[in-house]
Amino acid sequence: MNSYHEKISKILRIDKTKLVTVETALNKATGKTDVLKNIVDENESLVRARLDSLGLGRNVGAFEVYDALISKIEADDMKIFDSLNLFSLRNPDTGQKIVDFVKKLHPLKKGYFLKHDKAIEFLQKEPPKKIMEALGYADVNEMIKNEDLLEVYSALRFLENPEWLNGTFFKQYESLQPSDFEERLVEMRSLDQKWVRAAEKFVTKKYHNVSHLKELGVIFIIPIFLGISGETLRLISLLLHYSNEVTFYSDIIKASSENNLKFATDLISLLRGDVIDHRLDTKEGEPLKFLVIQRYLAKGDENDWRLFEPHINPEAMHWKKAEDGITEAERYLSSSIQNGLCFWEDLDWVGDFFRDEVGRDLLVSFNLVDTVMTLVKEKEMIKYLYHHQEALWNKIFSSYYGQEVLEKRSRDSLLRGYFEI
Amino acid sequence: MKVAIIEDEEILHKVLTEKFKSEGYEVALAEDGEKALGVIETEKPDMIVLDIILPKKDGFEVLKEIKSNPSIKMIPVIVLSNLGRGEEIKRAMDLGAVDYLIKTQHPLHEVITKVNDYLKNSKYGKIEKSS
Repeated sequence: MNSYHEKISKILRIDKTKLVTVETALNKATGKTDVLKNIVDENESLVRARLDSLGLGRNVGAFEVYDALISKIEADDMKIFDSLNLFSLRNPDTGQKIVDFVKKLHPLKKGYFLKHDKAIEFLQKEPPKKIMEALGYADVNEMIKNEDLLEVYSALRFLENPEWLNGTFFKQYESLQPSDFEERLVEMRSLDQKWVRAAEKFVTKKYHNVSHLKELGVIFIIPIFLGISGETLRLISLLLHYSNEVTFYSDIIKASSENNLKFATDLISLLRGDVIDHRLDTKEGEPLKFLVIQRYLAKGDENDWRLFEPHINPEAMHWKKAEDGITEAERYLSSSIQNGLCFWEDLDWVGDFFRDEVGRDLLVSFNLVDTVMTLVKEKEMIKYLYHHQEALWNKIFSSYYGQEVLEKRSRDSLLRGYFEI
Repeated sequence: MKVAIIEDEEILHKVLTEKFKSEGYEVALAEDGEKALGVIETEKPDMIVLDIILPKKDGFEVLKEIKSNPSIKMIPVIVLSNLGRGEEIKRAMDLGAVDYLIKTQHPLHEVITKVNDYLKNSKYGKIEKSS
């Protein structure tokens, strides 16, 4: 057992002997050695470099590091807000301005999505009553004729009751065939203000102002903003994240279309975000199993058993690409950023323990998404760490096999829920 | 020179504060209409940048109170608002605003330029920027 085992197992909150087992299996499968040690060395060097650029020494306290990262992201957010000439997040056209900027950063790709005719048929068979009421329609065909289909589908998620949505409306998806899908461009848009009024009338629960529909290839903003620090950067990151995610799922749906019989079941499993729900036995001498976890399980339960199994996380992969997109954003901005947006480059898996005032070791994530989400939730005192931890699992796997294999394994094994090395 | 920013949108008042400070101004801030009067009376700014849609008390009400208070009524007020209809602009100007800027129609640096220009040409004389 070495200090690098200590470091990684402490960050991932896993048992050291389990980490050694994972390392031994990965070393054996790839013929590589010293990979975990190199990860810890690289982490140390990135932490030192970033602390240095923030004007902090290596022995700085946890809260000073945390405050410096938050201040850096807040300053970056202000520069982006200013450079995009948003003026106010409360303007009706702010959402579209941000969408246009993201499209420039990441031109939207083609994917394999539900045909509009089929989507209309589902609405006709099971009319969404709350949406119709909110928009003042008594006849579903009248609504279909006058409203944008993708906006109506986007509104399903935040206006309709989840029980009806899952138990009735999405039940119709069980009949879907590959022939109901077609190739077309992903769409990204800011919804019309009328949906804001409808949302305000009907939505009591808290919801994010940006979401997506994998089956329809649409990413949308509900243009409701709090006007707080970090919101612009958070929104740009989320849009970039969803652009990558929608394309990723579209590839899996396309691959599933080769098996007509399982197509609808696979599709529904993908849309639900299923993750394996039973422990996998690995007998001695058998290859090690890696889970493919397509959600951030820590959001619901930070002690979910699957987080402590060897795994990769496609969500963290999409976030890494989003972060790469953010660092690219600088060349489109009119004003320069101190220490640059490239400050955040390759930090998705980086973090370390720093002492607090009473001598406890606290984990501080250097991950851009953890930091921006923490800033947005600053008043609620929520500190995010799980984007960093899940990115570290991906870093371990990709350090052995490379980024391409990480992506391929994520795509090919997501429905099965695991793969063997 | 000191500017009072009466604005509830956090990101906007932070960006404006930074811009004014980089131009050498001191900045006083109030995030709602009720606090605005107290901040203005205490800080005695040289200029006020006032939003209209504010929590607790709207900008028109704040403007009316500023202009009816002898100790602060001479401080020039520039309105900065999302509201841009003729009647709203007229109402603010009638209440004594010296200018009315509609958000989105001006990049933020133009707000600073307007304040600079107004103060340069006003009875307060030229701005002496702190180093």
